[in-house]
Amino acid sequence: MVEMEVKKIIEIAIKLSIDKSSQALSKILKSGSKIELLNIKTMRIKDINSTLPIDLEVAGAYIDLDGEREGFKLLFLVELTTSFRLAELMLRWPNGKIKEYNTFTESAIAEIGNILGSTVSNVFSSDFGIKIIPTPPHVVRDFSSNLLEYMIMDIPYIDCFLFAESRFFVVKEELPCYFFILPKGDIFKCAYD
Amino acid sequence: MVWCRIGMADILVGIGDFKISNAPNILKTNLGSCVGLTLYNPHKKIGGLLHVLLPRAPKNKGENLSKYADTGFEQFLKELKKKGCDISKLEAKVFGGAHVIKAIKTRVGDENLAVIKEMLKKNRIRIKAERTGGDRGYLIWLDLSTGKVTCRVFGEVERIY
Repeated sequence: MVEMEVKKIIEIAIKLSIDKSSQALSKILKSGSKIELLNIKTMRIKDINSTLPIDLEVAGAYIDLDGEREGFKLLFLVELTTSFRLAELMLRWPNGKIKEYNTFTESAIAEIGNILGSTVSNVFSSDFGIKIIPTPPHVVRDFSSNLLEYMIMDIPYIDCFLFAESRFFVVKEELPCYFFILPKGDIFKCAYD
Repeated sequence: MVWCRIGMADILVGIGDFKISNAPNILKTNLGSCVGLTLYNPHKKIGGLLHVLLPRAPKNKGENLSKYADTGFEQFLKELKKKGCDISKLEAKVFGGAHVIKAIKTRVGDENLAVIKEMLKKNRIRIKAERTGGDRGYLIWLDLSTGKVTCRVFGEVERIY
């Protein structure tokens, strides 16, 4: 029973987090963003690299959220070409101005990472009374599966873990982005208590 | 952008896992700080790909031993022997072990490589080719018809080893 309730808490906390993140992003991008929670599931480490196409070239931002207790790892991930358009939207530049990955795209991804990190952190502080603070984002470019691999490097002595995967669209442009949440400890059990 | 060959015969090797197969299949995986070891018997056209996440298994080993270089190597070799592979005929190729995220201070990639090389030496298996280290991830695929490994480092073109 408690396990079922904790699962509910997980779903509520994640939905709240992505909902508030999308509101913050909509303001920054001056375009509606719609976030869909695709699934929350327990995954085996060996199955992570089947989550996304293995050879997809992406850029992503990692954020750790820790505080009173171990919190989360967040990963915002976007196809390299999509990152160009995200940067243009943030800078109010016309479509097609950015032709390659550069400091503008890197900053845009870092900024989105900051937004996601701080909104998730706010949800836990205001709605669950748990103080967790986001670290500055680490922006990385690589194949998608490798970014997911780096996400588990700090917590490797486990065989399975809880994994929340969501996909969001910047509505006008239909830019697919991915947002993964990996709890490091028993933060959801704590939120339930 | 160059894409991996995707076909019916492609088999994806997960993180901390290994797969063994025969021609004409292709085994493929991605590697960041993880290390990928291919062992191939050219006479039988049987081979495998081991993907290790961490260098050494802790005392409380857990259920997935293939993710550690030491225990994973042992399991991998044992399964190859079961398939009738003679160790002395195996060709080894090693890839990965990059240090991509500077914020992670531990150089897990280097440690993974050291343990894999130590295990190969202990079992007298010669390394025929390697592409290791650096600060970008890898994609590799082993063609079991030829034993050749195609390696693509992020941002570079494919190379065959």
